[in-house]
Amino acid sequence: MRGQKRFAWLMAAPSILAMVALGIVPLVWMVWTAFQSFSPNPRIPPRFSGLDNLGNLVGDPQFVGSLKITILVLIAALILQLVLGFILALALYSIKRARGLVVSLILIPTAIAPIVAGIVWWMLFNTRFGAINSVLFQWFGIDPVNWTIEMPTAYIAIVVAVVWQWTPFVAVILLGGLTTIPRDTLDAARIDGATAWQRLRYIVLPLMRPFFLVVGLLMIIEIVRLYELPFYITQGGPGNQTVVAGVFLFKLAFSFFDLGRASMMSVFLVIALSMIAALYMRLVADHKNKGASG
Amino acid sequence: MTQGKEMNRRAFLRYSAATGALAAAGFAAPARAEMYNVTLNIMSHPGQILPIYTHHTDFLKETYGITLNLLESPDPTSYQDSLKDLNAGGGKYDMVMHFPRYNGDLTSAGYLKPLDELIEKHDAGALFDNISDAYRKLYCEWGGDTIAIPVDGDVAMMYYRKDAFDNPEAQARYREQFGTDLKLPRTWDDFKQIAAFFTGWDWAGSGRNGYGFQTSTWDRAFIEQQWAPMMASAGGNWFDDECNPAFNNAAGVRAANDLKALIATAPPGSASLSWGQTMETIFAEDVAMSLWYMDLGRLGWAENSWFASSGGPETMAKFGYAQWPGYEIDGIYRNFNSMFYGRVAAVTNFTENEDACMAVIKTLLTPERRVLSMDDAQSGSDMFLKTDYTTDAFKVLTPSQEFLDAAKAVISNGFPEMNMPGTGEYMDALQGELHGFLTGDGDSAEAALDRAADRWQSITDRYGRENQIAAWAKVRASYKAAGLNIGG
Repeated sequence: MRGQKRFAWLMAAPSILAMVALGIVPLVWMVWTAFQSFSPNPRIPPRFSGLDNLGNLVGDPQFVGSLKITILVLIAALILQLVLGFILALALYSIKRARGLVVSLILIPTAIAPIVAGIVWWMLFNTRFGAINSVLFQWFGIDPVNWTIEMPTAYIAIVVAVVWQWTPFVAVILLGGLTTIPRDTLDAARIDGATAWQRLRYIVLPLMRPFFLVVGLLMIIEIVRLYELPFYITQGGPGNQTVVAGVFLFKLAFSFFDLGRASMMSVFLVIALSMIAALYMRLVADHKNKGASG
Repeated sequence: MTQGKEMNRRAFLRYSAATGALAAAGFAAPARAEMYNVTLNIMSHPGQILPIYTHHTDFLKETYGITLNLLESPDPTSYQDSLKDLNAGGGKYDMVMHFPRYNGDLTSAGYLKPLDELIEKHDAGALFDNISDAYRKLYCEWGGDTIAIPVDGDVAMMYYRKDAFDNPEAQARYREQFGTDLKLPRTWDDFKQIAAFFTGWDWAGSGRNGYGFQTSTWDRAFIEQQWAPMMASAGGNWFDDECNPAFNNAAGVRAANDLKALIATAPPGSASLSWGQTMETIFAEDVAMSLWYMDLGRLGWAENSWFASSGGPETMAKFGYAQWPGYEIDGIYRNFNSMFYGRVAAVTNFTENEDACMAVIKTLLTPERRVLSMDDAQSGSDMFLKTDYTTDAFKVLTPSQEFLDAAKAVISNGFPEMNMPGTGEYMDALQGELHGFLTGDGDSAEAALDRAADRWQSITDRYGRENQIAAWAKVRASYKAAGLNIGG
């Protein structure tokens, strides 16, 4: 028995070591650096600075602004992704032939590198040369809109791009969930006279909760660490109004080379993300339905 | 025409004398050069900047046994790659390229090698003396030490449409409207008036309404390059002697308000354009006055330059060249041009091949070698050597002597990038507020600049006020050495 245990530990050891080396050590180092003051000059050693980095961040309007805009993007994009993703999943579910091909095609936006997607959307939203303004003018006679340099259009542009890129991914995960719902259950409900809405409300959605939970969490993480799309579409403008958390974090770490403040912000985001995730799980996970959803 | 010929002949003689003197001093292609037989890792900005090095790869290999391993790094983030290298212990690059604004950061952090001893050892003083004084003092030195060489002499000048200013109808309408003759603006007030005058009517006879103004870009990351020289012309500066911001005052506010007024005279949507798109707009529309970099006058005539697809040679014939206007404050007239976003190359402190790096530097500064990247329609390297400002220096491109004369005056009177530790963060704070003010409609210039100044104070404190005061003193000394009369 002891030999078996030792063997099991031996087998697990590489994974544990890898996890410690790649996950725990950087995390601990990040927490340590969050309380240090760094100079861009490596010859000047870091010094313990207590909560100075946090104080400096809180006093920086760009930090506060980045949290606000990130939350706004998160709320709008998450809701739209889940709603549109579910509608798309239902549409895909109804396809009987060549569904695999269609799924592959709609996943193209997700497969595109965010940096490329950012550039493409920046071009589409360009006031003077962009296709969106061109269509709005030619079809509806609407004067050019300064999408990327005014609010709230800059915010809308970012949300549109994020939703465009990730909704197909959401749809595919939810499609996977739809395929797990027993056909018999739906048929029985139909025979019992349940309307389409009732089947959706009382059978499909409860059974889909775990899938919404997983894909929602993934999207929350993705949106909170958003960087390339807003960076390229608005460059943080107008002013600093669309500097999302990911962009500000990048600036701290790589433009200002302030590892202390960057780490403190990362710690802050990890805590905030955990709280948002917990709140989301509380909203979505229905303990009463745990048994039903397996 | 005769005058032009005389100018060319004179310029030719000057150019011949200068290059002859440099050659006599031993800086032409060396007859028996030391063979280093090394590979140098050279970080360079990509695209149109690469020809700065690629024109010399074969030459360096054959003459010095130096192989160039060019490592591309995007323009806005190349200094980050330098700092990453520094933080990782150094050694990734033998030479690096960056915007001069990062000289202070990189030198203070100990990343750049002072070159003075190497210059003396390699007898390269004459080549450095041939660098335009402003670029040498402002962008090649830090605290009196030579730490870099220019590789791209970007400065923005005023391009104006001659057909607008020479148009009899425009002249008559202007005289009738303002009671004065239509002529090139001396002050920003004149500029605003003329820009507004040319906006909204067909002065070019093209069947469409013209515009008064366009600048290189309103891109958030570049927005200070237009405002800062205006602010300095109005008597402001980045800092005062105690490192308190010296731009959130009447000078900064005036410049910001004037700039905002000018945006109204630019083609619609100009505020969202990229660097390249602004140029397309200048060619696509009738814009009376533009503030743009040297590339336009240097290679806009070429059929295969990146301007050609936007309009190129036909429109180029309509352009005249001048310095930026200025402000006259309390009897002092200042008119700084924008001296932003040139490029410098430097040797890192971690190279083990400093002599080979010096051979590369000498090659890049030798007039007949350097001209190869300047005289190239695909290259973004603008003039920076004293010997660059004559048509005889060019064999492929055909910039006019009128343009080169204006360019020479412009580079001698440019307001430079801030160029001290923390510049990236200072500029980020300023860019955000300026962009918000110029593209928004609710905030005042005073409030925006005050907010930027508050952030600057906090950044200065974080970097250490005493350190920053000392660094700023070095920058101010370079202004003085370059002969710039900057207030604040």
